Amino acid sequence: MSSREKVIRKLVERGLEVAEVLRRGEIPILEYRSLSKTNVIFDLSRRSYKLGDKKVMIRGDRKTSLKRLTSLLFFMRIMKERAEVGISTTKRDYYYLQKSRHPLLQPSSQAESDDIITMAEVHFNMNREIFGVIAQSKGYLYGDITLEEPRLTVNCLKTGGDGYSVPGNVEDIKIKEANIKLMLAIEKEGIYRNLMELGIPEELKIGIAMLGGQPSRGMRRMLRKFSDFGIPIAIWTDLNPYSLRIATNIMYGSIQSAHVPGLSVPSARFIGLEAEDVDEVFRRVKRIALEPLTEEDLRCAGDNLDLPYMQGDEGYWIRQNEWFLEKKKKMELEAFNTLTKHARELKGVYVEYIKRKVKEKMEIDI
Amino acid sequence: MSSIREAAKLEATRMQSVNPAQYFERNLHQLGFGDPEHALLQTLKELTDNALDAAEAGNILPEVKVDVIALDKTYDFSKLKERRISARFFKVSVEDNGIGILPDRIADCFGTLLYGSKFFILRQSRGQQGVGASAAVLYSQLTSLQPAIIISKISGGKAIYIELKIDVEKNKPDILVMKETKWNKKHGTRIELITPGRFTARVERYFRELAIGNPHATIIVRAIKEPDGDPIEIKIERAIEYMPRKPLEIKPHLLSLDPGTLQRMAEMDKCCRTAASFLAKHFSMISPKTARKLLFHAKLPPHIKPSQIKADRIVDAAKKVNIRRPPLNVLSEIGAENLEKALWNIYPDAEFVAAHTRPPWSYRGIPFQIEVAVVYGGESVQRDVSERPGKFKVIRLANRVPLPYDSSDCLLYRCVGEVNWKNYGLKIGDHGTITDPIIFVVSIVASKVPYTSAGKFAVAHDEDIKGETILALQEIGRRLRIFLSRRGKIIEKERRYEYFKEFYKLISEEVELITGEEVTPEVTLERLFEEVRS
Repeated sequence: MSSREKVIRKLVERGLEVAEVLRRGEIPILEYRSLSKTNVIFDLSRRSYKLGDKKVMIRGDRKTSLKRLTSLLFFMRIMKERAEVGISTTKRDYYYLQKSRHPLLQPSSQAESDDIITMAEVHFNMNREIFGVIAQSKGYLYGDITLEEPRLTVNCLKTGGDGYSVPGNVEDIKIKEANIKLMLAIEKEGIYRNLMELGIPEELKIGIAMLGGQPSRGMRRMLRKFSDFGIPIAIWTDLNPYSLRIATNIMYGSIQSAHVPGLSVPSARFIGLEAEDVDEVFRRVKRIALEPLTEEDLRCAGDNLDLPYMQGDEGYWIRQNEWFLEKKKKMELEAFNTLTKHARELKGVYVEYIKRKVKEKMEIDI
Repeated sequence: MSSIREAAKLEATRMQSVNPAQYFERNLHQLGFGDPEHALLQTLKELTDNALDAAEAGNILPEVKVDVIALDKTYDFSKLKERRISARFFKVSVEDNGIGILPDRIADCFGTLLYGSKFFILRQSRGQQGVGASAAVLYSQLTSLQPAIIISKISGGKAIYIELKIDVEKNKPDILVMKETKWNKKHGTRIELITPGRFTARVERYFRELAIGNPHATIIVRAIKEPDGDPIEIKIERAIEYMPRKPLEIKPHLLSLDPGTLQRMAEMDKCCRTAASFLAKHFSMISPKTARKLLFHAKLPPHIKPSQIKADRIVDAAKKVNIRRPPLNVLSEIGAENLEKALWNIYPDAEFVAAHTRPPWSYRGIPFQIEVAVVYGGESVQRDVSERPGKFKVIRLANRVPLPYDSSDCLLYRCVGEVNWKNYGLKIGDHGTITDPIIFVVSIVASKVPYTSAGKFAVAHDEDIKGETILALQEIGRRLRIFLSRRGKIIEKERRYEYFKEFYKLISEEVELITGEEVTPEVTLERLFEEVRS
């Protein structure tokens, strides 16, 4: 049974339950785990966010609940209809759909209709992607990986272009084969493309993923699938406070998606750039390689000190942030260029760095 | 100098005493016959007052039949070219089931001004000056040149038919026809006049208000507003089946008298030897001891003749000596319960009716009693209220008679405006007026109602009356507030129910679309409805 069929069955089941409640003359009550900040717990030992046990009930006898209750049922109906037709929905699409349903259900802004989607996720304990609510696709994969999509099988070395473009909904994608020792998730597109052009993934037998800044839900889900498939995940970002957040969000998830199962990749490891690299790798060119931190960057570093997921890993993240606050400097992946006098040297620099850091951080030889 | 003396002599030859008929002939507006609308209504008012009095005099539940029939003839109120006001003549007749009038007194009753049984008596009654019905006759004859036609019959007697005019020079009736006639009625009086005027909504309203002030009376009005027009009938059955208590006569109270009247009474007195016994005998709440005290304060010896008193000093002394209030149990109030019944009778679709009767009190030595009622909501109230937007709708009753004009000068109206109705849960509009559909009734009964003028349009200002009226309105306001808050809750619940119903409609539509099965939210909604309603 495809996930689409599963979704339709699930929605109809829940609909029948409500119909039965109404037939008995009872009041429909739907519940979901509270998404309020107080109910989002960071579990340091499991290195991930999770929702607490606090429940929210939307009751058909409360005036204040009626709109959410009806909107949730409306969402279910729309998702069922769209699944039947086989089309996906963006959050914006859903905003317009709910807006046009009935004056009483009008959302005051997209934030309100987005909340209905989130509520449905928590209520059903299913990712929105399963319903077909899909964010913009972002990110690429490259390497000797064979993926099975519902309609075809793809090898990520043979997609052409920038690699395999990770779609918004990856629920139905299966990893069939992965002849790689490691999946290296890279923040920036330039270095990702250089690695591709230099044939490094093939040579090192690794996969590379282009995050493009904060990774999409599809990418995070995909990385989790690799992790579940047994592929170690390495994260390679700039050295700045925001990039630390990118890394930690992949590893530990985020407050906003605490309710979504399978989005975090606790086994992933951060390999750099880290503060130590400045002296160990870039010492020679330090003055050129470093850029000043902006005010905003500094504020971010300060805030990071308090974030729960920055507290773990024996103070590693705290140390990184303190370095920012002390040096008021950052470094980007593009800084590798400062280490070379000729383009020929670049490949060596990359390979050397990757091999060394993977060995150091993950104890994997490649 | 001599020319001035000549002028004074000439002026003296022109001077003559003016009798009441002559006076009122020239001052009909004072009696309420000023313009077409006033004229017809005033005629009807005077005649119905008499009719009700005639029935009550015999302890008979009144049944008053009024016919107002438009004639194909008009009268010019103003003959100025630029401002020509003309009005139609009406044949007006008012018939009662009262005791009837003795045959030899009929003509005087309708043909002499200031003739009547009420002039020197201090007692709650509808008319007071004894000009009412004869003023209507006078007005009719001045405008139409037609006589009044009267039929009257006393129980066991023969019906007498009289046609008469008023001889204005003599203030005496001029009987044109007087004969026995057949009348299919045991007793009663019927008067018919030809009088000009306008039959407006105010006229119709007057009879409804009259019924509110007189819940024991049946009032039947048949009117044809235009010649050959369709007749309309306003029939108001009595709301209660028993007679109101008869008001009692009282002696005048010194506080209510002006010195001139007191002087005249003293000079006319023939029975008392001393001023002290005169005061003790003819005035309310004056014991011989109080009389001596009064004379002492007036610096007059107690043994002087009544005619020797100095009235102004006595009146001043009366203010210093603590004279007790007059007996208060002499009035005949409508009664809160009766007032409510009468209002339900007129406004059967109202949402709320409440009346409150204050205990009797006195102003300047005259007993009075205030009653107040409100009618809230319903279409008939809404209709009456919308007649005059931006003003309080106040039905004013004085000794059970509606006061149809000059509301803004009237104390009873002004008191309604002095209460802050917002505090009692009413909605107040932009101009400080109430936007809710509400009608107030303010009634005063008194041994003598203090009018602002002889036309009996408006009650004059008096602090005692004002105080009582405001207290009564506040009491009614408290009851209104309780009603309104309960009503507000019911409306809120109903709105809530409608809200739920709408959502449950959507819920079942969605569930039907999801499941493809018919969904029945009715029982759930019914259960919720019970909770919401309760």
